[in-house]
Amino acid sequence: MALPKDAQADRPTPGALEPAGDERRLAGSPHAVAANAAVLALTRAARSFTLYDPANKVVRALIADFRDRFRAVLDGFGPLVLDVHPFELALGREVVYLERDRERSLAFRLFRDGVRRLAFAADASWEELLRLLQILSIRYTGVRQQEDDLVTLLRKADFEKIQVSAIEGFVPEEEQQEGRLDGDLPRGSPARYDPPPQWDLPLPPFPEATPLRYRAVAPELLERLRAEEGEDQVPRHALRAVGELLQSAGGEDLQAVLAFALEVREYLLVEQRSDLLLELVSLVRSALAGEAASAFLETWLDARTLRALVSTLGPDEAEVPPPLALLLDATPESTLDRLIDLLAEEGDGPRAPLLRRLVVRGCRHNPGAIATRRHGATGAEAAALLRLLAEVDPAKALHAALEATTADDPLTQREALRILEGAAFGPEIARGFLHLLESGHEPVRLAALPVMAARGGPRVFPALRSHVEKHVARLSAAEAEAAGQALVQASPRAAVETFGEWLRPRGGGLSGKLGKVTASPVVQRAALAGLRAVGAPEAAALVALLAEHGDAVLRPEARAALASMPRGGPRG
Amino acid sequence: MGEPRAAGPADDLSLAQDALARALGRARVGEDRALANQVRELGERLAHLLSGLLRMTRLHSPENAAFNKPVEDLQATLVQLHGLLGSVHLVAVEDQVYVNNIRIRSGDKASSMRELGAELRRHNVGGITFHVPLDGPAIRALVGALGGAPAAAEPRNGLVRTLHAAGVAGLELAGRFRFRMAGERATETADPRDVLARALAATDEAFQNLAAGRAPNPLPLRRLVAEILERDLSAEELWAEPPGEAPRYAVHQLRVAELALLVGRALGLPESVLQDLGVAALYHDCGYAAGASAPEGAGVSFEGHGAGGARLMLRQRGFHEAKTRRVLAVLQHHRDANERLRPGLFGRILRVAEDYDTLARRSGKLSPTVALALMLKWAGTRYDTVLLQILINALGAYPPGSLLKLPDGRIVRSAAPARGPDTFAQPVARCLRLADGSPAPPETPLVDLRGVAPLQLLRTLP
Repeated sequence: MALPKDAQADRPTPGALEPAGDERRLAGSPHAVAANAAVLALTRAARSFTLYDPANKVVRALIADFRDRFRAVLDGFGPLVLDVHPFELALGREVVYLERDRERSLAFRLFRDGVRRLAFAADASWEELLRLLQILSIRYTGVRQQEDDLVTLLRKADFEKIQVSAIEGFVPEEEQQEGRLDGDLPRGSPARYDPPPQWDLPLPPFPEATPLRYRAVAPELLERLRAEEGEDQVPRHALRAVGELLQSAGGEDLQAVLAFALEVREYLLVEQRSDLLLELVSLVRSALAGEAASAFLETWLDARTLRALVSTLGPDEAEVPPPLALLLDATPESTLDRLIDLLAEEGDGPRAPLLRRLVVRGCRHNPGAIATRRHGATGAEAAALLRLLAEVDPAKALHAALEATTADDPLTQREALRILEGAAFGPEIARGFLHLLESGHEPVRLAALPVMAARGGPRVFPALRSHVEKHVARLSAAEAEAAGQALVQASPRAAVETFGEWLRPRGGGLSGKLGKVTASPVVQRAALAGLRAVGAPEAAALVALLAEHGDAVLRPEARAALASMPRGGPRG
Repeated sequence: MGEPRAAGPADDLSLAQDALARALGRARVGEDRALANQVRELGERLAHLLSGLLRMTRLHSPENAAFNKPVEDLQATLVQLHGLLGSVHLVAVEDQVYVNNIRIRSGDKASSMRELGAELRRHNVGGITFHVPLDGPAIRALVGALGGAPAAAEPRNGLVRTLHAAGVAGLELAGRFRFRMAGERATETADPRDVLARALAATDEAFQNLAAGRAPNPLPLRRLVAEILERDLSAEELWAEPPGEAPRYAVHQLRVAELALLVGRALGLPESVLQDLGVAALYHDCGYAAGASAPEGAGVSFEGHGAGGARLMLRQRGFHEAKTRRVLAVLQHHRDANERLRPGLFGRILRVAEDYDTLARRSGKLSPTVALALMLKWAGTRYDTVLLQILINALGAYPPGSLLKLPDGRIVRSAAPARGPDTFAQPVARCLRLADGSPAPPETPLVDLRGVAPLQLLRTLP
């Protein structure tokens, strides 16, 4: 779960974690120096979570440093016993840590919260050191828990090899003892409320007694009982609590229980127990009816929860399991919106096909949703939506694709091209291809050329030719070649004639009479690419012309093409 | 989300990062950040306003119009804090100020916090508890009294009298505090009866706050449970009769907590779970607090208090495993062990502890020994067999409070839970009557009943 800070920060803010001011490296005996290094590493690692996401590589490096420094001091010098003073940590008489800035100081935080000594056994395990780091990190990030403070957390950790001496932070000083007053200052508190005197009474009858005896309890029975409260049982307890509360709730209490259900959801998300999320929502839905259930689900099935639920499906899963399907269908509009968001996020990732299937499925309830979402969408999202529309409503998709051919967005245009490619050719489609040919993005033009030629054939030849002649000044080599090949694909005969006109213009002047090629290198390249594909004797002649008199850069290519051209009748 | 890590098998560091991320995530879902921020801001405002008002008394009388706005602000702050927390505890320790255990960040106003502490110390005062929000005149009287010269002898008591004479009610003055020095140990200096007194006060305050419609604040109770767990659970002082003026409800909650912790410890529950059990026990009958807002005379029924109490626990926002355990425990603590909807472990422990305390102590009709013996008949039905036996093993044949007549005629009261299997029926006891029937002097040492037989069980003192 990302923490609310600059997640882009990949490098430490200068000085943020480095020892500053008092929190400096202190000199002393080798043991003290090593202890100082270890404590500084602990402080830096614990504070790092105020700056970085736990998954950040900086955090990883600091955790590694903490581990290594502590191992070094414990392995090298044995047990480490640190006395905690208001701003210092001391190893015997040597100060191994000093920091007076209360916000930064590890010593102050420990001392203020009642810790007076930390003693690490030489064989303190990494697990225990990590647990200590967890506790201190929570305190450093300023999470104010209502259940725990530092001392209760340290006691709960039940360390075996780390001893924590901790007591009440402050105690009565009473240098000047004063006598007890007769008649206290009235507290004036609002009227007390006490339960009725006979609360919990009467008990049920107990007519018979059995003599008391000591009986040892078998260890396995104790173990079985302890297991009921194992940490792994907490998610189940949470679900049970929700279920039983729902059974007993009514009226205004219901809102409190539903709020608790949302809290349990948060917990399950943190613990990555997506498997229990469905169970949780089923419990609630079975207790609610109609509007109440829908209203709850709208809140419950947010983007994170949906992501977690979808993650339980395999990428190739064809059918949505019924419990999840029911849930997705219960709040169709918002769920569809969120699924589209997930799909946009996924892009071409491995789960994209699954997400598309889920969206298409969701569109059954709301066919117009995709079209609505398309308004204002750009880039990958727009392309994804266009593709989705094609699966949901092909007619609308074609219309949308034709519109998209003029969008100044390469991804959308590529998707539009894909859709046009599958459509029956006609004047509208031809216009669409033309628009793509006019795209400001070369990759789009390169992709459109062969498709246009293949689908339009001779009908689009004039447009293809015009494309080359009009844009000769800006065509790249790749586009020129693609255009040449497209011309041949559209109409080989017309292509060869065109190449001939380009390479041997009538009235070509002296150069023409001398057999020189006056066409621009771009045109020559387009022609060469096209002629390579044709292979007819007329083509060979033109290739030979290029090999002899073409642009210097192209002559070797032309010669190579000539050498590989088959001798024989025209192809295509 | 964080940046993606390099692909490959998870190593120790990756696992550590995951574990830390989860721990932080869990901590955050358990936080009620809105409440925490609100309490912190209001606490800071309270401390700064009070400090400012005290500074102003050097120049003006509290009746001066210059005090109008800050007094109004202080009153409003107290009202808001009281609404959230109930009693507001302001404590000045050395150069630090805390409001309900939240340290006030002084920032660039560090001097004002030092001054506040200094002003209080002049009167030998270390803290002020506002049980109710003071009104304007009371605030002026408080500020005027604090700003005035301290009494020559017993300045704090003098201040109390001054405030009382001015009609100020609803606050309590505490003596001075200091940070406990490194090397001091709690168990050497604190009387177990002090722990009990604090536990009773905290339990009572917790109930009153629920009755007043506030959210539960389990941390003070958890601290006390942690402190009790650090002690010897079989210490006599933990089982002695509390002072008569202690609220009966609080006594019952605390005694059930002690019994539950005895069982939990014998079970070998880890420290974190024991803490949760103790806190759940201190809240277990809280459902009756909902009666404060019920229509006149309606109250909360026995049948309804479990579910009602569980719902009161939900006022505390944020998910925490302790809260979940507490909700279930409060909901289930009267359920029979063999019910179809079997209660969880905490519910079963509390049922045993609760019924025992009610039978043995609250009813006033039965000896603790007989109470246990009656309960034993219901092992396997009302009560979890193993848990009940654990309680019996822990308390012994003559649980604390059992009256016994010794062969020599002395009358004693069992003082502590059983020391072990060998002394199951031979507790240590406090002598009440000497052999001649006269009351035993208070300084009479505990009697070890090992080897003393026969023991005659009495129901009341003759």
